[in-house]
Amino acid sequence: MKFMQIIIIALISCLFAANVYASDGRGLEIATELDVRDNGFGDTTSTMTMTLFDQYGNSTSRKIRNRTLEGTDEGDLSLVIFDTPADVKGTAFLSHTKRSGSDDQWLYLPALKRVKRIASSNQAGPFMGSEFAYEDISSQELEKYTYKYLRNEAYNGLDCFVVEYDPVDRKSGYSKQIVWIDTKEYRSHKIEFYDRKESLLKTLEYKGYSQYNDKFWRADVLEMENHQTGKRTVLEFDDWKFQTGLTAKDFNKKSLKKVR
Amino acid sequence: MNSVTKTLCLWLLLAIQVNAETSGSLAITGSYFPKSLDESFDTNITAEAKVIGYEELSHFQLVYEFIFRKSLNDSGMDIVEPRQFFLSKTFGEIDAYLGYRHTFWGVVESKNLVDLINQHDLAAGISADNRLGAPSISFETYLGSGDFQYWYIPRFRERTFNEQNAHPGLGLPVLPAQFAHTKRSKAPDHAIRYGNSIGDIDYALSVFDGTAREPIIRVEEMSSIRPYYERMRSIGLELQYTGDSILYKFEGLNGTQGEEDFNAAVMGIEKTVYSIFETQWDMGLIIEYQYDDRVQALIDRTLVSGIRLTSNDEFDTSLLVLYTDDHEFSQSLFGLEASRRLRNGMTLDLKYLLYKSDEQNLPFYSFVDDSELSLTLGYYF
Repeated sequence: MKFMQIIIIALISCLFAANVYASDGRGLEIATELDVRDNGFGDTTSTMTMTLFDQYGNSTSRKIRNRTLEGTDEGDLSLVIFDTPADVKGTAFLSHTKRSGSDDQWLYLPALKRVKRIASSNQAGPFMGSEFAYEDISSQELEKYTYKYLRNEAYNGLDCFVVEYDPVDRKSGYSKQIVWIDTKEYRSHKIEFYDRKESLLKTLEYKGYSQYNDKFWRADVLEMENHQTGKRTVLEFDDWKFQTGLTAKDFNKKSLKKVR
Repeated sequence: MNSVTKTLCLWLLLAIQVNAETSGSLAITGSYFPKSLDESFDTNITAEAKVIGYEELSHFQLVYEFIFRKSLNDSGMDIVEPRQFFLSKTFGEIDAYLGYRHTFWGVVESKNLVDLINQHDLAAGISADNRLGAPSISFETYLGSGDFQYWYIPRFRERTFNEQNAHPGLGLPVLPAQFAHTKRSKAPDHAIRYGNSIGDIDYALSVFDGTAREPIIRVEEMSSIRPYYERMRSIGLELQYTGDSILYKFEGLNGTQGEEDFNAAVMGIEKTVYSIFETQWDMGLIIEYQYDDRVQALIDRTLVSGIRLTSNDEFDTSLLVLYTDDHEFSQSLFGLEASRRLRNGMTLDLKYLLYKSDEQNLPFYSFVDDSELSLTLGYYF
């Protein structure tokens, strides 16, 4: 009898747990629409200047090139190549995003000519010493969050959905993200990141959207502010190109060694 | 380094002055050897310049990486080295390379047994990036989703050694090398390697047939030293399992050197603890066990344990402490490497090596006077 009780309690807790992680219909609809509208981009290349500002306003910049291939069965494939600081020039970071579970990641160290598979559970860790975590810059797969529609609200003169994104992965550094998405084009404009203790940690703002190939929207500037440290990171994108003809072979270990 | 290569280097230096795709570095290292004996110097200064670049030619791509090194007290370190100087061309699915090339095979951290293509530039230090370019013809292609390589190396390059009064010096003059093969350094090497991944496992299998990279050191009439290079045939295996925050690694080499069969392996675990003490710092814990029954191996069985700290900040501060311990006998090596970016394009590296051995007949005893503290200032452009 006691055994049955344990099973019943266990089942009830499962139900509650499932409830905690479930999306509401509208939140998921909005997130799905945002995802669908970017479907079919094929591949992209861009260059990026990353400027790190400390709490005193001192700044230092890095130049980075990005290449992304849209995933079909699994998540997107992405390659990041560092051009500066000069001491890490040629270092490249390859990531195979998974819809669920840890991504596969490799690092190329040019001085050693070494391709190194790295553990990828550090998604909450900072990317290149910036205020962006690995999970902020990696490809945003629909399955990585559950969604809750909160309200509609004007932001920068645009009518926006405000949706709560709850990370599925317990290794995420966030308890939740609040995302402002405009109701017309389904573009993210602002994200508030809350840490594991539910305090506001960072705010990300997207600025200067342009449309490419009459379909795909990309922001020119991403500005991340850390409210707890006062530090800030600005990403400025340039030279967006879509459907350049990249294939999966440009995103494997062998291609890492040939990156120029 | 013959005069032809020197001329090529000079030509290249002139050529790259007008080429935007060139980068490089300048590094000055000051070294202090606190336990140096009377017959050796106790300080040294070394300057190293590296020039890296590539150029799209009409039918080929030219890739180069030249090292120029000059030491104040140890001429064994002096080098003009074409670590890479090759032409490459892609024929359909096959990439072909001709010239001096540098590659890396292996997965572990402490000793890469299967990394047989490039000879060690040992005079520059035991660090993994001190390698000599392999004069070679090589091909790389896909086999399924895997990476297949073939290397033909027609000319053997000898290991570099420090001067006899340097650190670590052999204490005696080094005579010209001898070879088991009648063609000496002209005996060619062949090597193939296939590598791929299945889920969380990366693996590679390689075969090598050529001159052994590690010489057997022979003392002749107690007055000089002669490196002797055997022929070697071996099969190498690399395995890595990548978990969430843990890596399991294995490198094995099995084969014959001269007439003798041999086995060598390194297996290890690397565990990373993220955001230690709620800071941005990560801590990696490394344990590797080395086994090598070849005659030239200083120690048969070695345990290497270490800690790696990384700051994840804009200065990329990192600290690596490695402790190499011979369980059977009382000899050990403590190594510490720290590095930090001072500002964009400028780095500072600190290295400390401390050899310990109580017994005169143990290999590490001869290194005790080579314990070293060095500081390197690097400028990258």
